[in-house]
Amino acid sequence: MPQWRVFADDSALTVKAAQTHAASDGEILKVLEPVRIATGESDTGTVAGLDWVQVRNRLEQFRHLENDWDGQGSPPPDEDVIGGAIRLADSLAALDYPAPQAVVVGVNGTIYLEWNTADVYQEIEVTSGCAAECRRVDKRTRTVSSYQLRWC
Amino acid sequence: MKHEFDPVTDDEWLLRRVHRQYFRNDPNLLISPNAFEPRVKGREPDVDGISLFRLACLPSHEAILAHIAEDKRKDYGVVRVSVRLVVDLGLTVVAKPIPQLPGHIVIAELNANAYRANKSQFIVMKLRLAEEASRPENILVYPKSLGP
Repeated sequence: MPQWRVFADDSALTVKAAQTHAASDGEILKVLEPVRIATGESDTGTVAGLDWVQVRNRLEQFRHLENDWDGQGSPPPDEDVIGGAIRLADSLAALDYPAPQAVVVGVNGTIYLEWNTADVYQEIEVTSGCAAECRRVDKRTRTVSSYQLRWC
Repeated sequence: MKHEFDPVTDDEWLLRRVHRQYFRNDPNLLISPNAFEPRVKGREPDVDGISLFRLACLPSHEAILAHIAEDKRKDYGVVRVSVRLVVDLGLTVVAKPIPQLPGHIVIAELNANAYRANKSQFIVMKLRLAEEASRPENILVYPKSLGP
C-alpha cells in the first residue's frame, strides 16, 4: 500500500485536505469522499458501471495500444503510466472506494479514471508511475477542487 | 448550406468526432469530458484550439468521418454541441479552413498551451460540453465498433 501525499494546488479550494506530509489512507479517502454522496442512483451514489476487476482489466488492455491508436497521432500511455494507474486502482479498491464508471486514455498519453454522480464529477488523471492529478467539480456550484496525488 | 466564411451564428451546431474510448456506459454522462481534451503532444497538437466542424457548412454530419483512415473509422462517433453553449462558456469559435472539408473551426481557448499551463481551469468547460454532447439527440453517430 503506497504512502499517499496529497497537495492542493490552489489555496482557494473549498476542501481543506491539503497535506505536505505523507497522508494516511484515511486522508486520501477524505479527499475523495464526495463521490460517496448518496443520490439515489445506487448505494454509493455512483451509477453502476465498472467494478475494480473490470477497471484493472481495462488498464491492462491499454498495454496493447499502439502509437497513433486514434488515427490522429496520439501516443499511447507508457508502461510507467499504466503501472501507476494499476497501483492507484489497486489501492483504491483495497480501501473499498467505489470503482469509477469510466477509464479512458487521454490524447496526451495519460489515463483518466472518471466518477460521475448527480452532485459531483471527479477525475483522476494518472500522469506517471508515481503521480496523479485529481480534479473535482461540484455540479451545483460549479466549484473546482484540484489536488496532486503522489505515492512514491 | 452556409459558406464557411459566413459568420458563425448562435443557432448553429458544431460537430466533434469522438473516439469510442470516450463513449461511457453511464446514462447520465454518455460522453466523457475528456473527449474535449486539447492535444498537447503527438503529430498535431491543438495549438490553435480543439477542432470541430460547422454542421451548417456540411452536406451531412457523416461527412466529418470521411477522411478518418478507413481502418480507424469504425472507432469514431459524431456528437454535436451548440454554438450558444460554447459562447455561454466564454469560448470563441474561430474559422480555420482546411482543404479536406468545409466548416472547420477551432475553439480558441481550448488550446494546447493554455491547457498545459492549467488543466483545472478547463474542467468545467469540458464537463459542460460533454453534458450537452451526451444528450441522446446530440449523439448523431455511435462508433460501429461499439456494436448495437
